Amino acid sequence: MFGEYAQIATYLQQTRDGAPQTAQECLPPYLCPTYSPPQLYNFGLEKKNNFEDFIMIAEFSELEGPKPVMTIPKEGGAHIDQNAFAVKILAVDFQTSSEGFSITEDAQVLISDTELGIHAFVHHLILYDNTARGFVRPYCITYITTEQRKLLHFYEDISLQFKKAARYLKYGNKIVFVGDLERHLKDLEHTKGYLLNQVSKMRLKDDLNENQVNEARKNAENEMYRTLQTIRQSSIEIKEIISILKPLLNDRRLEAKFRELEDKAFQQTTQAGEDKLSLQDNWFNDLSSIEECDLRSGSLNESKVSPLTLFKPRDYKPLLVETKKAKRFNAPLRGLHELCSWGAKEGLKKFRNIHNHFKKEAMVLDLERNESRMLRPRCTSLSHGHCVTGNFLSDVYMKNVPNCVTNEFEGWSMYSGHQWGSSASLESLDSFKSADDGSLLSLNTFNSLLAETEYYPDVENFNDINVDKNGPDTSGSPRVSGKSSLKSNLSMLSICKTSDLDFTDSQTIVEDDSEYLFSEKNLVEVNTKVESSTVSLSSHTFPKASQCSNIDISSIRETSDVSTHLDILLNVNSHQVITFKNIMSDKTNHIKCISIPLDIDDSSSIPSDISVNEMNSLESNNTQSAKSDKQFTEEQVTFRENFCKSEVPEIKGDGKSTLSTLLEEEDNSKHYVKPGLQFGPFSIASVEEISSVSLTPSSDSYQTPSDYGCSFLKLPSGIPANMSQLAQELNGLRNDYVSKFYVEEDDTARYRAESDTSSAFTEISLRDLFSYRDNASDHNKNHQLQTGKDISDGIIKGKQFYEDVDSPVPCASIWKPRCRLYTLGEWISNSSIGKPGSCILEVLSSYQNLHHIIYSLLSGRPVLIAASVRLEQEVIKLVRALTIFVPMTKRKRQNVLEWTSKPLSIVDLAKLKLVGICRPDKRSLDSFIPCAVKKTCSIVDLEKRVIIASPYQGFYISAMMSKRKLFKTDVQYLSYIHWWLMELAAKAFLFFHSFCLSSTGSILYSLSPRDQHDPYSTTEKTESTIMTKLGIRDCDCEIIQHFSELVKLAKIESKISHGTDSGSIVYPFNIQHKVCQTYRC
Amino acid sequence: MFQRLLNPVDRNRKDTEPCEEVEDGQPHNPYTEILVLQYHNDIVRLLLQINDKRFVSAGDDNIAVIWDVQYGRHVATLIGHTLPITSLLLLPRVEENNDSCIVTGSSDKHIKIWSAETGECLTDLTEHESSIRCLLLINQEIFCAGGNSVSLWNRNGKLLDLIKNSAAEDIHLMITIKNDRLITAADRDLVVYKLNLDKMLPKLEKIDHIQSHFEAIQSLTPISSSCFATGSVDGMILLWTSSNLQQTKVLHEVPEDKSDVKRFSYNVQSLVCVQERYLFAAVGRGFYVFDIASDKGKLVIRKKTAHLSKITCLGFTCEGEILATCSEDRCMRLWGRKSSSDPWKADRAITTIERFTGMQSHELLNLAQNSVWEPSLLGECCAHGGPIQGFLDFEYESIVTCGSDNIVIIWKNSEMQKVRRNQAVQKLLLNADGIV
Repeated sequence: MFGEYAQIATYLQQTRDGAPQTAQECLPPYLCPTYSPPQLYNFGLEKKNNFEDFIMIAEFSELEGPKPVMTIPKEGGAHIDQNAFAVKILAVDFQTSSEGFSITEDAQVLISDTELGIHAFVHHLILYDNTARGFVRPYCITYITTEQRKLLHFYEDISLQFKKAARYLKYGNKIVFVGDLERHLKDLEHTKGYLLNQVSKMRLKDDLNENQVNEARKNAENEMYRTLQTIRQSSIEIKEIISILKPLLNDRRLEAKFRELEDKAFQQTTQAGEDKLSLQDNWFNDLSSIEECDLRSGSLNESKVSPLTLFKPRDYKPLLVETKKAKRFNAPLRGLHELCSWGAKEGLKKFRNIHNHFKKEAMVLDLERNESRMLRPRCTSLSHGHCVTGNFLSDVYMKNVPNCVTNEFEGWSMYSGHQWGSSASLESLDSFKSADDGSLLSLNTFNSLLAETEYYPDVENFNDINVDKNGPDTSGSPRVSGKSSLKSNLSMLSICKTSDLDFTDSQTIVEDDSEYLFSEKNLVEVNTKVESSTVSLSSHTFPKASQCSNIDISSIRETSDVSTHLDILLNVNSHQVITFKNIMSDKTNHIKCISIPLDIDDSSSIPSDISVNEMNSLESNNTQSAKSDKQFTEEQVTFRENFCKSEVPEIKGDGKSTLSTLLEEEDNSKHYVKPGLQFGPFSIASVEEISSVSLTPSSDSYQTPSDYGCSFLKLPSGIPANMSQLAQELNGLRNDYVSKFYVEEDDTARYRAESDTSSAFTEISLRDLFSYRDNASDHNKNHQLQTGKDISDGIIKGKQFYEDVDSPVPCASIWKPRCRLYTLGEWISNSSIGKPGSCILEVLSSYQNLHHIIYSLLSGRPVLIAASVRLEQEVIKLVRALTIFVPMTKRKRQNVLEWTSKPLSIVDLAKLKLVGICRPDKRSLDSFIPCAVKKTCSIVDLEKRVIIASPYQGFYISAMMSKRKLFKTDVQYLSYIHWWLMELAAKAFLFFHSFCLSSTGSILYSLSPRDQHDPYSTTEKTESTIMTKLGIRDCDCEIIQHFSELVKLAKIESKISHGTDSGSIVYPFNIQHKVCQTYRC
Repeated sequence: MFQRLLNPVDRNRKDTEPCEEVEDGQPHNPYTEILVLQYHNDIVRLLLQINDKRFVSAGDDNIAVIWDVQYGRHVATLIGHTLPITSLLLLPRVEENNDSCIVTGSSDKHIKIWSAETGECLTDLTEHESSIRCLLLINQEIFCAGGNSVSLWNRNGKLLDLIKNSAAEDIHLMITIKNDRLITAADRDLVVYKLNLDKMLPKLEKIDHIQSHFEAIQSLTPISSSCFATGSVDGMILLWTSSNLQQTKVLHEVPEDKSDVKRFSYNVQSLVCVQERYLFAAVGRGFYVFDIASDKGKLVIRKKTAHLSKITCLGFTCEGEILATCSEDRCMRLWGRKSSSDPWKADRAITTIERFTGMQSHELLNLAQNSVWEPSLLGECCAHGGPIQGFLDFEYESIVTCGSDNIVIIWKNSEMQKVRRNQAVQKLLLNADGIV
């Protein structure tokens, strides 16, 4: 199993030996780190029993006893003694009766082997075989994993899926068995006839020579009678069995499926003209992989008489049955495929799927289970750019809408089948970079706690409108819940508090604030502690002294179509952020985005230990899961640690390095500077809380092959088990924070003021520092200025950083906990060139009055961005940046067009919502934009730097725009925007449920358009009442309305388009007759 | 302004009153949601309502398309003609078991009868051997086709009678008047036929030929059983008595300014009669309403310059609350009252004209003694990229227009649509077996 890790091992080797050496060679001694880099990652490799889950099929063979038959995947479980394990799990006899023939129900048990450290879900089933003893072949199918938790948490799922898959096997087996029995019956009849014939022949002979009737003949006759007796008996027996089994063969669906398989197989045979039913054939590819343990399935090579045939009538020539001898049971038993025919094929396929699904980390499974719910039904999800901002009918399953009926496996895997527009185009490098960027962001995000405070009042607000709060199980129904629904809508936030790494129970969101209450005093204490620990630990090898260490592990699969992206973010100790990014690709281009934030908010406890443990576990798990992913050619993991204070950023290799700066807190002189280094696909970033000056040294100036202890590993992708546990088991910190901030009114008042309308989509929100200590700020400032300068100068500053950071004074400044939760995955915030939202900051800063345009986009008014050819790139940039504001439903419609020179017509506008158009030189705007189009669009004329748009007067977009200067990178700002968009979507969600789906929303007061202004205003009254309740005013109402209209349309459309009528329906286009104004931009 | 620049024809018009600009934001325009139906690839000229859910459009691309008006779904395409379809006619269902049919007449000398349900071509008629310009339903069983000849057909496509048209121009307008007479208009001539609708042998018989217009007759509409009206390119509207075919009134004189006549800017594009009393005439860029019941055909409503270009068609929608005028300036404008001064009275408005004007007929007449009532511009529906050719009213549900830009647009009341969608979603969700 370690073979697959050669690459990693090599890399580890480099990291451990090569890199530090070079660092030491290159650096003057005083620059060498005083500690050696933490050897985090060998830990996991040595850990025992880290193997990928596998499914083992074992049989209690009547010849050999318990034996493993096959494993899924083929090489699964190579390290354990499968024989021994098979003995262990098959040491049961669950067949009920010994009297006659009866159908034995399957049994499912969980077995743990603590010695081996493995846990198994065992599904016992009985297959029937007319050649076997008692006609039965006890089999068991076992899901073996090292994660007991997985089995326990997903018992229901696993059990159900195993039952379903086993049904295929059993059903196929029954068909085969009944067929066999029927043939056997024919044999018996034939034998009987033969014997009777013999008897009559004998009798005839007797008649001829009557006197020669002797003893021998009598004996023979008796013998024959006995034989006939036996035959009769077994006939009766078989008929009885058939009579029991026949009524059970009533599953038309399965039968149809098998028939289809068979037809396909034979069709292929005939098409190819020759024997294609062999194992080499594609069709049987997966059989061949299984079949090796079943030699007899080689009979597949005999084409037309393939034992797999279930339905093709076979000319059966009855055979004579040997009745005299006792049945011999030493003949080789038939294999699974012979026993179950197509059932085995289908069933094993299912098992393979099951394996593929459950081999994932329990945490991932959990997340998927929770989050995938949010995406169903897909037709009502609303997204902006790549960010799904909400699902309006989450978890409402519709029988009558085919769209909503999802295949169970499809449903399981989050986003499987959920095509995300351009997701497939996540170019490897770019995406990596941006992902990396994103993780950088995770270090410098802010407002985290703020956000908590922010939504807190809102939750109550929601409660007014009848919402249940915090119920983890509310996610199951169409929710009108505040925090919890939003929470689950977006990403799971599991929060833990860990002074001792003892996590609270996962299922309960801790609401009792008393336990975790943070008073300001506590905070101070905590901070002092941190401070001291910083000092004391600074000499240690591990950078635990850092007030914040952010560990970011990114594993990115680079293949042509990167499609899966797991993003897990752990915020430990409010200071340590561990981010896992896992971008994988698979053929289906499905995207998975998961984010788990973990906040461990006890900073006084041994943070370093936490991180060490974390990282160890991360690594070990990575190695585990690498196996499963070996099909990917390139595996890259960046392990990144970001240290807030005490760490000097490490640069390794000579790749590109970027030093990204972090944002400044709004009212604060303290700033975080986060230098992030990238090289090739790897990156290391660290955060420094230092200066008010944003440091952005050029990459060249910061190329130092030094190793300051940030370890940097190339690992296969994976998900950390411990992390998963953390994530799973910890909950409630958010609440803690909330409560804390409730207490700390003074501190947070200013934030609240800014954020009073924000709501519960806080998961994605940025979190921020919760307190400051001003005493250090001056010092820091100086410091930062200094360091900033130094950084650009070269290496020396590293040392300085070090010293400075080690000194107690800077440490005294209170660390701000940061935790950034990603919406539906990191790649959402992927802001690399070409992705929605790229260059958003640049665009917003270089053009004024764009909020009117954003308003147009959000309220469904098309936006045209016109410029002459020479500004094409600029237009495209603008379009890309603004794309994130175009709300989309599941409907696959291209509603953004980056650049076109074709004149637009009203027809295009029904589809396109954001278009960059080529403006012919020296011609007026009117000449290429038809009047009808012009009237319905907002226009940005880059040539004249003019915006023609309906003016925006509202809160949300202004709020979105007002803080943009605080953000230094697109990714940060993007997530901020996403947060607001989710906020809007949440409001729309509430509006949708409280108005659109209510009785008032469906009453047409008057047909007359004139009356609609008066009586309809009754409706509007209700509408506005709800809007007011939601805190929506002015122009924002239109955005909300537009969102809900979009979702309604998508919903209706999915119904209509699946209706009986053919023909596509036309998407309505809302012509908004609005007063437009001209602005300079 | 933009449009004026684009329409050089209008540029020199200094004499007439300026065209009203629509109010900013159009608060009185309920039609803010459109469905753009794209299937035709040439000018769409004709629209015909099949029932309250479907309509058919046809035009110069030789095809007709059946649409669903609710979602704009394309239901069927009627393909078969080789030249532009010039006329559409609906044969309503007569018995329970037979479908309503669509008759299309084309320049390719074919008349085709299609099933309105499936779009399947049922019959192809060629016996008349001349191009078709217009179709007219005589009664449930018989329809009449005009063009180079006048032909009489029964529902099943049997040619009953045919009379060659002696005039040089094709017959392009036909109406029936009392006593089973058929009036046809070809160029500036009116020809009257006697329809013998004998069950056994229906026959056509030419009985009269009248020539009283100076220019081509552009519109022909029956007003009541006793009279009908014709309008010609030169702006003259004549009223005729049905009984003796005498012209009784000249409603609109050609203006004195002869220079303008050549461009026929007072072309009577369309005549619509409401309540057998009010004759709506789209003349040039404006529209006029005459009260036929009054002595002289009193002008009661006038909008001299309603559009920037010629009005192509007009009609009421929302049961009279809104008058829609379509024009070559690519816009459809909605006219009516901005607010009802007296809500109580507005509630009692029963007839179309009462809803439209908010006044009863005598009030309107009284008002007309001094000044003429002018409707207010409620909204301007501007989405077509070319002149609007046709207009179809689905009462409160929607308005359908077609235009030279090859598209058909369904205009919907977006407020109503929102509620409709709420209902639809609710129905989907709250269906008995909806939620699992």
